[in-house]
Amino acid sequence: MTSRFMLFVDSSTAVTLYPEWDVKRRLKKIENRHRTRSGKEYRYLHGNYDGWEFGLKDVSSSDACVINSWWGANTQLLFTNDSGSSVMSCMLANTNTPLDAYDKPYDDLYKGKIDLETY
Amino acid sequence: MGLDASSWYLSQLQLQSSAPQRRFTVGGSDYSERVQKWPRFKMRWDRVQPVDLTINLANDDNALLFFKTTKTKLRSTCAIQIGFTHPTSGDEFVTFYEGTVDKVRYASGVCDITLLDKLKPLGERTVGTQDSHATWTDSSLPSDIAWDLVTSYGALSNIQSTSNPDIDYQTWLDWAAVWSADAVYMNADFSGCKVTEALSKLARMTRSAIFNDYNEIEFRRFSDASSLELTLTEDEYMDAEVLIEDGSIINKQHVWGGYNVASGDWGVLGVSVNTSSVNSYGLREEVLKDENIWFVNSANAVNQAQRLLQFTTEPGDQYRVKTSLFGLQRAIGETAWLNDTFMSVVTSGAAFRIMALDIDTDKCMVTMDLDNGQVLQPFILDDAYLGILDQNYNFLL
Repeated sequence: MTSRFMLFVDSSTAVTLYPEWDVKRRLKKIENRHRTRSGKEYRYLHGNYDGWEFGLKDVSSSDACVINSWWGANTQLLFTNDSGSSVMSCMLANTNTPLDAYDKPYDDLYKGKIDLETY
Repeated sequence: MGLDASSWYLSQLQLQSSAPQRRFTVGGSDYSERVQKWPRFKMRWDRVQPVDLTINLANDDNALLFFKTTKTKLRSTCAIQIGFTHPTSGDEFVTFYEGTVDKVRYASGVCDITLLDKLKPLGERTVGTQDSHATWTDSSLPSDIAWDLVTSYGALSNIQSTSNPDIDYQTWLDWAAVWSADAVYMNADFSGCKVTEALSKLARMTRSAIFNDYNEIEFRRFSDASSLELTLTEDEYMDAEVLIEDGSIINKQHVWGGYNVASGDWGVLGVSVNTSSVNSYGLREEVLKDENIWFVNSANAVNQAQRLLQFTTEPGDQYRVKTSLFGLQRAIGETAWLNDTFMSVVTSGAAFRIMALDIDTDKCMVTMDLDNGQVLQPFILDDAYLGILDQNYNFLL
């Protein structure tokens, strides 16, 4: 996939990411929904949050180290996709270390999954 | 009285899709963004006790430690509000609950705050002592005794106008007018019970509703249907259950009065019987007798006995209805017209009194307890059976 994403704290710490085909955009709503006896529905929207999830391969050890340290410190990040027209404030929401495996057969390239959510 | 909100706000509660905002403040500071789970609280017509709720707040950064470091912060006024944003005039918030802190618990980065509402000080103060009784011996209106209890003993505001911040003065005036019109008088003698207990006794003896409704103490005597109405059809509620209690029937009411504190004698007994109910359900008796508060003469006792039987000679249909925020439009004591096709209840039929509200601000749901036995049903001319009033009716046939 030739898309290019950027994850950074500021202009001096940017990491360029080349996502796999499994890119997912997750805009989630926080709402209450009630269905009445006649079938009508009442919905109350309280808020929403955005998120991106995608796989990565062939990540250099230096980039992997930076990303994993951001995850460990809950660093507030900025994310932009291909167009660069919108910048999302987010944090890494992975349960475990994002880039946690060698990308076989290389021992200096890493693979993993990135899970970003706005805050 | 009821919800103090604009007509626009009430219209927002009726919408099937809206974006209500919930706000939680402590001493005027907004902590809404820390709320992990919005609270649920219940209000009942016959509950003369503080309404409590617990709210869970994120505290990983210890920003809420001030309750521990400055204990007087426990007296901060906390409020739960629900609001909507008007397109031109901005936010309109309504306070559904206000109280002070009863308990704070810190654990695992979460701060749980338990609040008690305006009735809290009434549960902390006593009326009289064993050595110095608090007495009313000059035949007072029950409303005057209640006023003294909540203001002189309960320390709530004694402003005698609708600007009273603690008491819904208009409901007190309307309630007082009932006793005044019937010339009903009581005497009382309290020797150290809590103010809430004294009010409970007064409420039971007079079968009155004394409760905290949206941060103002209300006083009501349920009789005719309230003009403040809500229509609930199957388009508006998610679930409905009906309870009919045989045990709620009372068809012979005894009311004792004229109590002599010194001798312990009772000088008055008022009795009222509904023979039709006795024939239908058997004899069901209740006794009202209280050595702390009593009616002064037989006319008052009989009056009370007769009034009680207006509502208890047949079991009412007690509905528990779950609605969305739609149900927030009306308050306890007001009227709901219910439609339940399965139970053959139509909105043009009996009025129901709203007896309790269970407000879940997390799920944006309101559970209402309704009772059609608590409304003196009006005479309704049924146009399907006009009889001699029907211009097409031929009485010669």
